[in-house]
Amino acid sequence: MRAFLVHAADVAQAARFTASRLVRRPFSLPFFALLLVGSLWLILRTVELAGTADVPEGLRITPDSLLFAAFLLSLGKGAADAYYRMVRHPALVFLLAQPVRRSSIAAGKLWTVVALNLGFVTLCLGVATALLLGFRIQVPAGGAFVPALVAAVLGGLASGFALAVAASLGTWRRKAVGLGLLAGLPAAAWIALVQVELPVEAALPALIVLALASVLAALATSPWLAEAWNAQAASRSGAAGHTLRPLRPPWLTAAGAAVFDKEVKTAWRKRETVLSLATLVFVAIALASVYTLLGGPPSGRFARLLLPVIAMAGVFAGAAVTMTVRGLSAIGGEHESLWILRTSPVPGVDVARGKAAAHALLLPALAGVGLPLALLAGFPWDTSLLVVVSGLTVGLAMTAVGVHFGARSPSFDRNTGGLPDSLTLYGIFMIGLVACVLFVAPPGALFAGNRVLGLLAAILAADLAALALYAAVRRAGPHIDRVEL
Amino acid sequence: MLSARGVTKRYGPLLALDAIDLDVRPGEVFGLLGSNGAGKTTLMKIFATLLRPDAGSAAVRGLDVLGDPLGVRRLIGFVPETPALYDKLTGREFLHMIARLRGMPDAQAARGIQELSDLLRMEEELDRETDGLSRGMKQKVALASAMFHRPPVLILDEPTNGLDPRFARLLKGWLRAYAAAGNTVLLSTHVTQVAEAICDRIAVVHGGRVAALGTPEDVSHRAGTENLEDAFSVIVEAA
Repeated sequence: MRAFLVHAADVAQAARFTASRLVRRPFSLPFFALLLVGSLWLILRTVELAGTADVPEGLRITPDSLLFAAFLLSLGKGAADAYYRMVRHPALVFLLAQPVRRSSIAAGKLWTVVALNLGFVTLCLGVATALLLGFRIQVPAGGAFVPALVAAVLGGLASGFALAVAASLGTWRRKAVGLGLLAGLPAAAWIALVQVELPVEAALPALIVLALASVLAALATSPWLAEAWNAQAASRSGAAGHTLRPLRPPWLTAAGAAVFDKEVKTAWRKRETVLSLATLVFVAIALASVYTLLGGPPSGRFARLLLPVIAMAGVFAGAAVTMTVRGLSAIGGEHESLWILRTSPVPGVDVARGKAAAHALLLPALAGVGLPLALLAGFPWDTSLLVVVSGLTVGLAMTAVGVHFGARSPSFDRNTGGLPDSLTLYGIFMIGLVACVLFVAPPGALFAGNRVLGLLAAILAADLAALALYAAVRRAGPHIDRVEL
Repeated sequence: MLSARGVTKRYGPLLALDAIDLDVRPGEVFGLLGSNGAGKTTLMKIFATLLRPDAGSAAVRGLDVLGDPLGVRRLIGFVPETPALYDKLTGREFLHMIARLRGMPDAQAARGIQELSDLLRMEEELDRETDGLSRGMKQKVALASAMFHRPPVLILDEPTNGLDPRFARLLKGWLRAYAAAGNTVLLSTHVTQVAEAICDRIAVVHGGRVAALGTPEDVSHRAGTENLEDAFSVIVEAA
C-alpha cells in the first residue's frame, strides 16, 4: 500500500510534467507518433533485411541478440531512472524520514520505473504488430518472443535499478562489493542469450527467472538507500582548486569563462565527466567486440561498408547519450540554481557558450570511439581518418541538437535530471540521427569514389557541424534570457 | 530607485499581482509584508528580471526591467527565498564565479569576499562544497553573493530565513547601515518584528495588491493597533 503511495505520487508528477509540456507544445505528440512509427518501421525492415541478405554470420540479427539488446538498453534506462528519480532526488529525504520501511520506498520507486518503461515498450509492441501486419514484414520472431521481450525488459530495468543503488554507495570498496554481488544478473543474461543462444522458447523461462531475481535484487538494495542518498548529497572535503585555464577556449568572454569553469568543476565533482568517459569507453569496447564476433574481415555484398557504418552507429549512440544529453540538460539541469546566472549581468549567449565549450571537452574522446575497431579491423589510414573526422562531426552536430532543444524548451523536472520526457527525448534523438546522416553520408559516399575528395568533404562537413553548433549557441542565448523562474 | 507602475502578473488563472504601483527610494530599507502567496516573491522576481510582467512596467534606477535587463542586473544583488547554490562548488569558488560573471577584477573580488567572510564569520565554511553546509550557512553564502560586489540595490526574499538569532540581528544592523550609505534594500518578510526592526517603510501586500503603505508606525496607527503584528491581521482581514 505504501509502495503504491510512493508510486502514485511519482506517476502523478510525471503525468503533470508531460501534460504541461504537451500544452506548451501541442504538436510534439503527433510528431512523436510519426517518429515512433517511422523508426519502428526502419528497425523491422532492417531486421528483415539482416535475416535474408548476405550478412556475415556473426552479425545476423537473431531473436536472442534482440532480447539481449533489449536487456542491456533497459538496464541502462533503469539505472538512469533509479538514479535521478530516487538516489539523487532531493525529495527522497522526505520519504526516508517517514515511518515507512525502506523496502516499501524501493518497491514504489521500482514500480514507477517499471510501469513507465514497460508502458513505452507495450506501445512499441502494439505499433510494431500493426506494422508487421500492414506491411507484411517477415521477422524471425515466434509467439514466445513478446513475453520473452517483456521479461528481458523487466529484468534489465530491475537490474539497472539495483546497480544504480550499489554504484552510489559511500566508498569505492562498498561500491565494488555491491556491484560485484549484482554482476551475476547481466552475466546470466549474457550466458543465456549470447553464449548458449537458447531458443526463444527455452530462453523464456530463463528470462522470467532472471526478471524475478532482478526484482528481488532491486528490493534487496533498499537497506542501502539512505547510505546511497547521503553519499550522493554529501560534501567531500579538500575540493581541489584546479586551474582550468589550459582547457578554456580563448574566445570565451570573462563571464563565459566563469560559466565554463563552473561547468567543468561541477561535472567532474558530480562524476558526470567520468560517467560520460566510461560510456564512451564502453561503446568503443562494444564496437571492437563486433569485429571479434565476425571472426575476421567481413565478406559479401556489404563488406566494404559494414564496419565503417557500424563504427558510425556506435559514435552516434555515444554522442546521443553524452553530448546531446548534456546539452539538453544544460539549462533545465540547473533547477532552482538558475537564479544565479539569471540575476548576473551576463547575456544568455555567454551562458550558452560557456556551457557548450565545457561539453565540447568530450569531443576528442568521442571522435576516437571508432578507432579501436578501425585498428583491430586494419582499416587503411585514410579510412581511419574518415571515421575520426566523421566522429567529430557527429559529436558537434549532436551537441548542437542538444544545446538548441535544451535552451528552447528546458525541462526543470528533477526526476529526469533536467532532461525532457521520454517522448520528447526520443524525437530529439531521431532529429539528431537525421542531421548526422545528412552531415556524414555525403562525404562517405564521395570517399567510396575518391578518397582525397571524400576526406576533404568530411572536413568540410565537420566545419558545417561546427557552424551548426555556433548557430545553436547564438540562438540559445535569447531563449535563456527569456526563461522565467 | 525602484518603481512599479500597474505591474500585473498571472500564473494561468491565478492573478499573482494586480496592477501594483510602488516606489522605493534611495537610502531606505523597504519591506514587503504579506502572507504566503500574497505576491511578494513575484514582485521581487520582476525587479530581479526573473519574471516578465504581463502588464505595466517596472524599473530599477530608471532602467526598465524588460528594456535593459542586463543593465538592471548590474545594479542589483538578489537572494531568493530558498537559495539553491551550485552544490559541488565551494563557497569561495561560488563567490569567485559571481565576481567573474560581474566582471570584477580578481584582487577586488578577493578583497570583497574576505571582508564579507570576516563579517559573516564563515572563513572555514567557505572552503567546503556548499551541499555539505547547513541551511543557515548556505543562506550566508547566498547573502554574500548578493552583497560582496556592493550593488546599489539589494533585493532579498526572506533574508533572515535559516539564520540564527545572533546573526539575524547582525544582518539587520548591516542592512540599515548599507541603506544609510545611499543604497536601497528591498526585502520581503512575513515576520512583522523583522519589518518593524529594520524597515523605513513597508507595503502590506495581499491578493496581489498593496493593501497598506507607509512607515511601520503609520501603518499600525492607521489600522488602529498598537503594533505591526496586530495591524497586519486587521489589514489582511479587511482587504
